[in-house]
Amino acid sequence: MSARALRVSEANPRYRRRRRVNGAMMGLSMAALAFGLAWLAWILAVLVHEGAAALGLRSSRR
Amino acid sequence: VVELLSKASADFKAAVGEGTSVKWPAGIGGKGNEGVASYVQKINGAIGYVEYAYAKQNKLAFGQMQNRSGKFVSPDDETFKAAAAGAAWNSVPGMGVVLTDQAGDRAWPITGASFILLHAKQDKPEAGREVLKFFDWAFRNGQAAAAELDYVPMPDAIVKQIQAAWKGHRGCLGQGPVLIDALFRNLTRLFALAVFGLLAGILCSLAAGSRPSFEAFGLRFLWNAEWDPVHDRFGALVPIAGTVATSVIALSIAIPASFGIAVFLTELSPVWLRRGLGTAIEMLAAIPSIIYGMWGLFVFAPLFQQHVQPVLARTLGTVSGVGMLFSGPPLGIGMLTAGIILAVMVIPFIASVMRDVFELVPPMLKESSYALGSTTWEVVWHVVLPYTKVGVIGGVMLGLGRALGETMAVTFVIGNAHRLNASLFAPGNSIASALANEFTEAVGELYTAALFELGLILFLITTVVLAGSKMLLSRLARGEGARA
Repeated sequence: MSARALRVSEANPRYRRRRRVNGAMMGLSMAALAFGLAWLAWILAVLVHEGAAALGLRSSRR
Repeated sequence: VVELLSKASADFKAAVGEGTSVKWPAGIGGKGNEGVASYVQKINGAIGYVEYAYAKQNKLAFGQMQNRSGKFVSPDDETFKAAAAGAAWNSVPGMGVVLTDQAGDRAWPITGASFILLHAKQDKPEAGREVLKFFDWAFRNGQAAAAELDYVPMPDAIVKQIQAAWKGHRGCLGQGPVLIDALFRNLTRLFALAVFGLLAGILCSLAAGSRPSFEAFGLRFLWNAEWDPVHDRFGALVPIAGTVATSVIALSIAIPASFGIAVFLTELSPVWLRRGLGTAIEMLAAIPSIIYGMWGLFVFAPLFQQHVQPVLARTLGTVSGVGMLFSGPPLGIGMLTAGIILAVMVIPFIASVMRDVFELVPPMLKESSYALGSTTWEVVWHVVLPYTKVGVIGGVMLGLGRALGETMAVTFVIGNAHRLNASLFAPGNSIASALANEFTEAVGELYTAALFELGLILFLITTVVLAGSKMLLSRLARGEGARA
């Protein structure tokens, strides 16, 4: 295997490390988005659930 | 000439035509007055048409022409003026009248007027007005200069018609915009100054309101942790510490999260998903702060108390150095909870700014880096972030400003206790929440003054943060300039 081919192959530890770092950072990026969306979904779900329950209670009392 | 000949002869018009490009059946075209004059001199029997000034100055031989009235006239000032005087100037938009074959016994049949073309609507009305002023001056003072150059001055009656036509465009060039521009300029200046006036007014009223407190406690107010309304002893240390601590916690969570969101939206997300995800994140900013507060108090705090704080106390609480920050009974509400709620509130602000500035990076830079073999993370870290650091810092400062001043959400979950505690689980207070909670029930001059002084401190902290960020940004910009 030529030196140049070795540079971009899985056998090169530096290449493997770069790929690992990239994968980890992209994973964290997706996790950050999920983190942000989870709060939104949580707050909206609570509001809709509690609000709908309160509305149902009120209409049943009528 | 072709204009006149076309008017005089339908055959000529059909065979040769009129306009700037015609089909001469014979002859030689000369370039400019000099070229035509040169050919006429060289070619036996040739005739040509040159400008009057050129013919006169070079003493060329010229002939008479028969005009529309059947009279033979010579070219001179009088016959040119007669042609101009007989024309119906207002018959053509913009007075673009062709002066050939005009009525009048003395009219020279191939007279031409020079026109200046101006846009009726000027992008810069001030410049347009100056141009009109120049032509107005030229009509009043330049007629003699025209005669010296063997041009024929416009008859006075025509000049009056032209100046009357200018009035039709006054809305674009004349007096109208001067007034409107001045009004607009001064109005906008007034609004800009009103902002300074408003800021100065707020600062003065806060300073005046806090004077009794300042006189009573002096600078000691800043580091005194006591808050005792019963004995009129007040200090701002606890609210200041709470404000700083909750803001630091908020930014510690929000900055990496916002960065990750912005990276995903600009580098990883499929194009069709970007808009929807971006809007969803921005919706976090649309939730009213009181909803955050209620949700934090009734939903988040109990869950945080039962499931997260015990875990943090067991893990981080035992680490030397940071352990004290996560010690104490898990109460649910407290500084950490307030900081987390604040983080969720500022994420959409920071993430939106970061995403917008990341999208401004020229694709050529990123693609060059990809072409060299960089991974996505390396492109973001080594190309995107250095290119956008000023905007990123601006977004962080925007989030910090929001975190420092946030009131309702923090008031619900911070615990509102005037106690200084190293543990982030403990209840505390922020400047904004102290003001919201206590202003309505503050009795006595000193109590109210102490709250005013808290407001003044918050105002100054925000100002210092914004001023610092501006200095940092300008230093970065200067650094970029020096590097360039």
